[in-house]
Amino acid sequence: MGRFVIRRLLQMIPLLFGITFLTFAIINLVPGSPVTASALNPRMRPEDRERIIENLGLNEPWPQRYVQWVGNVLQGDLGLSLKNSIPVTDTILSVLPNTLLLTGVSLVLAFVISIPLGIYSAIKRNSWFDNTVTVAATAGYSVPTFWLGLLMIILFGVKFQQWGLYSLPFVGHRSLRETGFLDRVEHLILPAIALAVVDLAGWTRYIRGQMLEVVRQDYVRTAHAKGLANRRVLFGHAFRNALLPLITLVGLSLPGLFGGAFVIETIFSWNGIGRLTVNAANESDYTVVMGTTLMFALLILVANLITDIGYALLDPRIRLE
Amino acid sequence: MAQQAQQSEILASDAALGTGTSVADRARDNALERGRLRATPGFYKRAWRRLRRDKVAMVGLVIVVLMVLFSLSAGLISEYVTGYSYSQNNLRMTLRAPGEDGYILGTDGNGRDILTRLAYGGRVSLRVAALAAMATLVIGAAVGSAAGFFGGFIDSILMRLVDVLLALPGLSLLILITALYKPGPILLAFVIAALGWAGISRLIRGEVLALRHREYVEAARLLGSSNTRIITRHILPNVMPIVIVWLSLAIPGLILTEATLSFLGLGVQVPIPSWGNMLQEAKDNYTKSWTGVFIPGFAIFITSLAINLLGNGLRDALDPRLNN
Repeated sequence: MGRFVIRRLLQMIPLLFGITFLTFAIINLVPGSPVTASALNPRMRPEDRERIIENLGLNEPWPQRYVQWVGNVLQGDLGLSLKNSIPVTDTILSVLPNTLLLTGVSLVLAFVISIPLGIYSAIKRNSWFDNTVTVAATAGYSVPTFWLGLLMIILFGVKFQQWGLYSLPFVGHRSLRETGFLDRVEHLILPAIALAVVDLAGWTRYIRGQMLEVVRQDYVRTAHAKGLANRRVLFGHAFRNALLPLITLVGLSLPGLFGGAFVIETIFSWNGIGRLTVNAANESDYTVVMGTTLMFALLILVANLITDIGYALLDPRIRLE
Repeated sequence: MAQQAQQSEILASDAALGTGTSVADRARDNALERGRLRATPGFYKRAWRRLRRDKVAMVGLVIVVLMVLFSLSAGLISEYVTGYSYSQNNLRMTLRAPGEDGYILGTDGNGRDILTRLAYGGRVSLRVAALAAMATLVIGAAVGSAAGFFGGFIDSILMRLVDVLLALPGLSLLILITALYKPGPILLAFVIAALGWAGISRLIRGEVLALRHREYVEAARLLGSSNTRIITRHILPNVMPIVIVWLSLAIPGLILTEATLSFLGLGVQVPIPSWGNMLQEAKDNYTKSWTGVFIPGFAIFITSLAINLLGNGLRDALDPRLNN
């Protein structure tokens, strides 16, 4: 197991190089540079422009700058933001907890709801409950996250307030004045639900299918035959085996979850890494974009590794070599 | 993107359940056993019969056809139904509710007719999705069948590339590329395809790998068929069912990807309407006009739902093994 983890960690290195090199190339092959727009600024003297270009190191060819960037990253330095000169490492570390909180809560939400729904749906196969769940899951799978988020804002934020009902906050991750726990929870509800819907729907469908598959297995029939109670068979024998492939699915869902965070954070003004990336990309703040891309790539790679390890720990048939 | 990956992964696991026999073969074997090969209708004809019995899938098909017709007739709608062009502003008629002042679906923040824009937006959104799907498929099929058919060195090189692509933070890169290069709708479709072909290529590789050593392929080789002929005449037709199902499940994902990018202000650029950028503009007025937000998003939702339902039906119809 230890050797497997080490080898996988080593395999991540070329992958990270590939991803960051590609991103760096995409950024730098674009015509113009972060200072191109300033040429139109009549109050900027040409020598100032030269100085800025010099300071940003833009005179050197980009492959050379990539090597420098890598060297700095290895020392934990992602450079300075082109817009506000704040170290990118600091910016990312200050917003990362917010993103992890939002995605974490969504993940738990999707997990906790989809498992009982999927199992019950499979048990009551072709009942009205099962049909409703199946249709709802397909609908949830097709719904655009950002549209759902906006509708939730309009209904639970704006309309409820107009109607004099209890309305939920939908801007930011906490109130400016209040910082209590309850306030944080209130701010989490809408974005976390909006973000959870896609995975919730997908997993419910998947668990239902897995359960139907497992219930037909011989060992389930044996369990029934030896007179175990229905509950015991379902939860002791069938459910545990149906759950295994879900681990892979959770791992596969993570990139999508972070992708969803881009839009949800933008809509709900959630001060996270997704919103940071979208804003930085729109403002051509390349150092920040490089930093967040590296961060996302790392998160995905680590999540995949954890998925594989979890799978091996839970399924004795799988040997990590 | 991620939904797409997840879907194709689900698809892959479905496919893995029955590696060995291809659907078409199995059907043919059954027919031979019963000794009435000539009397049995073709594979696709029977699949269509199965599909027609699936009410949910047929509802999906009808909605898809209606949506495509609606989008294709954008010019006619603008000319004869609404009388407005998609970019015609009227600042005295902003944010009208549906039905108000003769606007069937109301107007947006610039006083533009929403129905007209919805039709034109659909044309752009569906075109980008369809083009992206086709481009993804061409790259994926080429790489997948080459890797599966030739195996060995070519296979390992191509599959490492697939691994890298699957590990890329897809949406993050798309956001970056679109922010930097501001591509038009057509280029956007190709960019999405260039980053998204890994899933389907892996799927096709697996299928080709399973088909490569089948008797009829060996027979064709003995008869002196070239590699090209074997791939195009004997292998690809048997990969078709899985490709059709993949397409029907991937297109909703692609519609959502385009909508997401346009919604972030990075995909299709105004004044060309797309369902995504209509939503982006409408979100600034969400306190005053909820219908402006609801309508374009609903169009995205109902279209991708309909295609998903059709796709589920297609999967059942094209692969009788999965019927349970």
